[in-house]
Amino acid sequence: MKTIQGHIDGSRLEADPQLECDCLIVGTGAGGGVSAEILARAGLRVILLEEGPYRSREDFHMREQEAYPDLYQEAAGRRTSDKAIQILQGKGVGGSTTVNWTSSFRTPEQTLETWTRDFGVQGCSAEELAPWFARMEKRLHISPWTVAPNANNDALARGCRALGWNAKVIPRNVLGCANLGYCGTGCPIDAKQSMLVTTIPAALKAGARLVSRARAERLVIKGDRVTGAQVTLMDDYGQPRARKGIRIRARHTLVAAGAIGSPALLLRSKAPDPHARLGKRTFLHPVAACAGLMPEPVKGYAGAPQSIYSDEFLWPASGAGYKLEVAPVHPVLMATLLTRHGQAHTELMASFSHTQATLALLRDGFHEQSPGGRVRLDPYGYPSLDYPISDYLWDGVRRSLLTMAELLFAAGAARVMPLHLDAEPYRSFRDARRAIGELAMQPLKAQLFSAHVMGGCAMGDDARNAVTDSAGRHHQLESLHIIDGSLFPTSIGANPQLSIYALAGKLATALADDLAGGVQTDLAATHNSPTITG
Amino acid sequence: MASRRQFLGISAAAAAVIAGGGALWQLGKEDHVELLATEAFDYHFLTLDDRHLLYALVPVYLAGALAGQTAARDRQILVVLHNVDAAIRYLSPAVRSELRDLFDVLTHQLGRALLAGVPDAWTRAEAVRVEAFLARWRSSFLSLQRAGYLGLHQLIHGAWYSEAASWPAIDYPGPPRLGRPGESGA
Repeated sequence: MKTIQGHIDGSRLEADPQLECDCLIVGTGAGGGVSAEILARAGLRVILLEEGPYRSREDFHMREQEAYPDLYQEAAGRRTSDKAIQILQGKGVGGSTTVNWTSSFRTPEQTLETWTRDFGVQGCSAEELAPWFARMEKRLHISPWTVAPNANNDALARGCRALGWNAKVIPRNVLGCANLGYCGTGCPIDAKQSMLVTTIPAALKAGARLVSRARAERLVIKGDRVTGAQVTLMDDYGQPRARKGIRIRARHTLVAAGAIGSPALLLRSKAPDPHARLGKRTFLHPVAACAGLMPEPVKGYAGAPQSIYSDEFLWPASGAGYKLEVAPVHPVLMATLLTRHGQAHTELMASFSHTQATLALLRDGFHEQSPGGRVRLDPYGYPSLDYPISDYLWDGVRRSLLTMAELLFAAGAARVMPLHLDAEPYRSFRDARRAIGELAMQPLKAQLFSAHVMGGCAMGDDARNAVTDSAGRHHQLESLHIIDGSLFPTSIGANPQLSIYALAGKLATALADDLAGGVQTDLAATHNSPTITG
Repeated sequence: MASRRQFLGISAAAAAVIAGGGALWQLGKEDHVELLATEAFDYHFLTLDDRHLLYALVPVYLAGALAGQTAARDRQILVVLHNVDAAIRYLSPAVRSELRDLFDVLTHQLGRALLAGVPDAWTRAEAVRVEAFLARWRSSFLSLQRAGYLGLHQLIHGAWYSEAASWPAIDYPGPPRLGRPGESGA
């Protein structure tokens, strides 16, 4: 691990350094990272808190064995409280941006219209956000991938072409990408323009400080003001260090701990919640998936993990819509997703390099039968997410499995297996269709995943329906902003990182203006910082 | 003897495996009790009882994936045990507590007999019994049992397929080499 100027490793800290700042930012992912650069460059004294470790490219060895425990929440095994949905969420400096698959979409206009029309959100029309999307696209080098898709993504393109469905190239946040395929274990060449290599080094260069292995235990609330946070220092395994806590005093606090972490922090802090909105309407983009056995090698571990998508089924006239993408195929990922054992599992694993993996992410939160989940605290004070799956969503899961099976056979698959405990590898779409029609849609039968957590601290100008106003200001507490994906009143309907970047850019710029009075916002002029020193 | 085998409805070959291989299996089991009790590894979560349970489960979860030769397979099972223990160190207190409950109920003789349907101690459990236990929990109408099956599945398969030793069999070349200092081969 390299040292970086302004970084304090909480796992090694012995005495309370008595830290003070203008703005304390809790979380270093898409929301906290973008906000940190803007606030620090406005001349504010910023402290960034991160529960996970600080890692850099030298630490990224493209090994699942190292990355999952170190860089993912709960060792990549985070689940909803009934265990029905496995949640892949990043941890560590850069948050999920350090380990995501780089897909970067603008928020769909239909989503923004829904927020404006149904959720009292102001200032988030497509026109108002367009300059912020453009700015963040420039800052993070986001553009459609120009290299040919790998075989895994090409199967999605081929299937769509054969069936007359739309398919497009995914914009990615990369610069000098070597097409290795290991985005999910941390980019070993700093090509991915995550917060880890862009905004956070820029913030540190501008004087911000970063405390890693430090979990905000609770906000310190005096009357109706937040004056900082009580912080627990964590060990190398992400467990609290015995009796190691520090206090950070802050003029203003910005919570950006993600859609599970942010509501949990406010719940632990017993923040006022007069209308019982906190932690409600948490969305996951529940993902269903199909594996296809292809005659030709797929080598789903090599090459940009996601480069093709299809929105053919994203906005149907009725029922839950879903976006089609692929998932990279790495040994642990595939071995744990194929939920059989013994010889049957070993035989499926023998086809590892010929396996294609298609996924459908369901757009949740747009229908009365899709109210999302609820974050609450477990007996240890950790977040626990209840996410009941309604018949409306199960219907979407079943239809998406049918779509993916049809797609994979059209792409030339010899066998297709929906990820479901009762499913088999089917030899024809006819067989698959009949079987999928009869699969029991139940928790822990159908296998569901999530790589996108959203909502839980919804924004909106009516305090009866939202935790913050449209600027991210907490409705009840002074000197507290929330700026991350937890603000979203619905899911996005696309991989959410660019939605968070743009919203954070807009809201943090306004906050910097408030706190500093006048702000340098020319983000695009900032180049990747040379502050990382040997 | 041959007629009795036919009477039991098993082939001569299978009977030979049970008669001859069974004895070797027992011998292997005795060895592994010694092995698990004496190995020098600093476990943080798994108790000796947990390790006996896992020693019975791992070769069934990973049937066909582990080495055929007993000593080599024993070494691989130990690696899986070490990795499972290491993975659990990173989990939240609530999940560790759930796993503790799961291991406690399965290593208790009543839990083993009634919930897993395995009459013999895990150190002597027959593979066919273990297989039947896993199949039953996998297809159980109780989501708790399916969750138990899937939780153990994830720990065990994650522990094995994260090891480079598992990769040749699945035609995975390992991560690309970037020519960086200190880089190890796959």
